[in-house]
Amino acid sequence: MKIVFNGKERQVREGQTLEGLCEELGIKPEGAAAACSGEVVPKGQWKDFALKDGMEIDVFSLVAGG
Amino acid sequence: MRYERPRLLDGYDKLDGILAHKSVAILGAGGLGGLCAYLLAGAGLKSLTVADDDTVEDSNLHRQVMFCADDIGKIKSLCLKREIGKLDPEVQVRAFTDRVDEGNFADFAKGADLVMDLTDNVRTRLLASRMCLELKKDFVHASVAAGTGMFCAFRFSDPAFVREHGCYECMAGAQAKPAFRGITGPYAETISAEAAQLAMECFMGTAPWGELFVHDMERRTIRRFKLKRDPACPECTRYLDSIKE
Repeated sequence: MKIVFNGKERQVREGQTLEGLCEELGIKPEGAAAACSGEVVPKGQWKDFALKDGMEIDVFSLVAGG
Repeated sequence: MRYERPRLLDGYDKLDGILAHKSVAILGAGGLGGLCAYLLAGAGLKSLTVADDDTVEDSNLHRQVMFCADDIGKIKSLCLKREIGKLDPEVQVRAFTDRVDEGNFADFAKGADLVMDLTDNVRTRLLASRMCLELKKDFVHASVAAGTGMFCAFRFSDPAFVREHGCYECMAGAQAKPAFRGITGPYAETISAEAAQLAMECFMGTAPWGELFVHDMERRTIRRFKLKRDPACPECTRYLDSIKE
């Protein structure tokens, strides 16, 4: 199935979770936040958040500066 | 005369009058907190608490525009108080020179209508979110590094807000650990100004509570996302349980 990940189409396998995808892409959950179709996905839900065909996923870095 | 230009804007005619009776507590007097505090004082805020126990370093001066070379080695919150005093001697600035922790947070936030997390320290940020939730204080968060800036406003004084949008920990997780990255002066101060604007909107009744803004420096875009509560978040659960009692 296909999702839109950070603005680009991407093929992902059925049953893939948000956490699993980030792991595959080398994105550390503790350093990132994510949203699906304009809504933030709480960090505690990443593990069980199943990706579905057509979903628009945005993952962005948490930043520490000031 | 001082406020005649903002008063020309629709919705801003009463801003300085509103700010004159509000108090803001800011965590961090560096790249984000320094300019933000100065802009709010310039806009008419008369009561500020600024917490920062760090001293000014040479490596700060490219982005922390409230300090000069003579300030190196001096405590940031005291230097910022001095600069705001030059801008408007009527502003009451409390420089909080102790490191803010669980034990003194209530003292730091005492009397504040809004608490702003503008630190570069994620542990302090998580503590601030948790303590503001406990104290039911409205809370603004902003952070910036590399090419990303983010800011959002949490209306912790409103249980309906918490039920829907949650807290910073819901979004970032209790184990949040952003990577330490580089930063430019102009970009740090861009996000600082955004934080000041957001704080003003909190008092004007026009703030986009519950929306996370993610600014991309390279693309010069801002994306906005709706914050959502994690039903399993222990901090939000404690807060909502305390409302029921």
